[in-house]
Amino acid sequence: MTDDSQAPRRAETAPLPGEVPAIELVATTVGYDGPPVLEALDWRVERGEHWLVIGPSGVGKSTLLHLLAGFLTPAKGTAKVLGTELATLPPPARDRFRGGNMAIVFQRQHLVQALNVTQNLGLARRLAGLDPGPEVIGATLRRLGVDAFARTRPAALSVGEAQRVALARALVVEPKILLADEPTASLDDRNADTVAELLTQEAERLGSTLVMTTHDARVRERFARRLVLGDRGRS
Amino acid sequence: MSIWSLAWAWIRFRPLGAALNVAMLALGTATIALLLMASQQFEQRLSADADAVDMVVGAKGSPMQLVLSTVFHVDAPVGNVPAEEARFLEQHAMVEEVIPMALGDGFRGYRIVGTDTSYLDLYGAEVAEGRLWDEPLEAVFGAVAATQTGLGLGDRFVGEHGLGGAGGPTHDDFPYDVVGLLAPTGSVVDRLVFTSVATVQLVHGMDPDHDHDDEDHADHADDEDHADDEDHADHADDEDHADLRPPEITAFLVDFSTPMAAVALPREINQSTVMQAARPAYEIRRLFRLVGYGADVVRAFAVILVIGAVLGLFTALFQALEERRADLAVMRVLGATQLRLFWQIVAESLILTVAGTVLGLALAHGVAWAAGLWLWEHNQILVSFAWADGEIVLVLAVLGLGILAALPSAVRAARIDIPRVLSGG
Repeated sequence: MTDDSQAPRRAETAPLPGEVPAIELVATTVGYDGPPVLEALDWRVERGEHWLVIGPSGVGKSTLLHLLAGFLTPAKGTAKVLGTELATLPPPARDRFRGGNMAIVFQRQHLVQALNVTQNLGLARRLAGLDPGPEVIGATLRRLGVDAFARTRPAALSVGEAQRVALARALVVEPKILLADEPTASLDDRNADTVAELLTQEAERLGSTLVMTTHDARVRERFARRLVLGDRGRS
Repeated sequence: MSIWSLAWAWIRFRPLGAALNVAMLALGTATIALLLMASQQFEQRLSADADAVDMVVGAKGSPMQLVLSTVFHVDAPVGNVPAEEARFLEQHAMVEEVIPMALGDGFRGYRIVGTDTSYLDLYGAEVAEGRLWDEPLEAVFGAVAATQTGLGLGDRFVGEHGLGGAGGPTHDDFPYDVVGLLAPTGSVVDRLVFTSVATVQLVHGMDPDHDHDDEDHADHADDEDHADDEDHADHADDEDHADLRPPEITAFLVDFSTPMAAVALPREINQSTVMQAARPAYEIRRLFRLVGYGADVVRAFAVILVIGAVLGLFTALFQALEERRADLAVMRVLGATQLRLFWQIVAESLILTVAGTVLGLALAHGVAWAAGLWLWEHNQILVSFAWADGEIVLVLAVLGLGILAALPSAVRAARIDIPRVLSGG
């Protein structure tokens, strides 16, 4: 299932002294219309760390990821990603920052239905400002065991296959930060285990910071660091 | 995966809908392009024929009928005027040249025109075979008239009342000899049969050599039916012209010697003679205005067709957007800016619009080409399928409408609520 020959690798994953953290929230309050979903949250994630964000439904796990991705801006406090306060960036720069540094895996795969698997990965690299990289795409598909579906449209994939392709799309841009929002929730045990294993393995290989939200007990043991969100996001 | 390749992938993902959008746009574009080509060629052809003649002078009546019958040969003559009226014109200081024209008969639908050979110079007509008419009852055929009637040098024929070809009375005692065939000119000359003025007068019971200034011709000037009830057999070999009427002329084609004549001469003729003057250029503009109302109605239908197609495109893009909200949200997640999504939708619309426009123009020119072949084969009418002046405006207008149709969807795509869409809201 793995093929190291084409895989980019970051040798050093441990945070360096003085290096800016991957994520730094200081007294961050955020929400949609109405009362805040996350309130006065402080959280620091060093580069290369793997974190699990857990908590019951509605406590703001997805909201936290939306904040980190720059879809939402804090009402109070600051939220920095790789030392950059996304709220201060104009929207196009925020989009480019996200594309160039982050990748997100969702519970639903959200693959572009009009494109085949290879094209979906190619689109991700293009939007991240990378070259088409057919070798990288091929190697990523091989490592995730979905290279047989390179020319298959998403509609012809099973849920488990589609989730591995979605994971491949996230990894093919070699993100510094990998966000995963309940990626195993809709999978059976075997696929959930496979996806969780691939997610942590590949994040480790790339030296990416991994933040995964879940209330799926099947994957909790893979993470040493956990952020437990309670009422209004307080940990 | 560029904007264009993704747009193309989305189009290929809904082939039937896209094909319908393109077909609708093509139909609208083709209809307008055909109208543009047809009206331009119609106007160019009529203008070319009209511009060859400065002024037509003939019997009083409808000036447009006078022009249509003597310049374009598509209407019945208004009537005749005494031939001696030519003197007034020939001696006028503002007149450079006067070409007489005697009409009344035809042959198998092609009008026989009694005139001077100088008439041919107006249209640059040249003899392809044989020679020009010289003696009475000699005839020269225009290119189309020759081809369609099948007559050649040395053949004989007899003229028929009116345009002929309808089984009406014929002038059996006055057979014409075909002495020449003209080369094609692309003008009205191609569809005429030429002979001398004296021949037409002779066939219709007039005395071409009549020179009785003191006769009262008033009775004849407005008599349009005299030719029908005359017995021409009596005149065939009649050396004594006592029974023959004074000669008449259907019209004079006048070439001005000065631009001032355009204003002064028609007024003078209309006020002080038994004749009327008509300016072909003016009458043809009037005709374009009249015909233009009909063309405007057809053009309006074509515009409605295009607008309908654009509305169809708008609807298709809007529906497709609803189906692709997740795709668009994911693109934003992957780093696409709002502007990129905006242009993504516009690009898809542009591809469909360009395809529809190109297909429409190809269809229009293809139809024009086929129609041209058919018209040339059956009527020897030369129809060009070259670009009409307005087609570039048409292309820009359709492309502009295509972009306009995409704008609501494009704006909506740019403003997509990423968290809500990705969380299934």
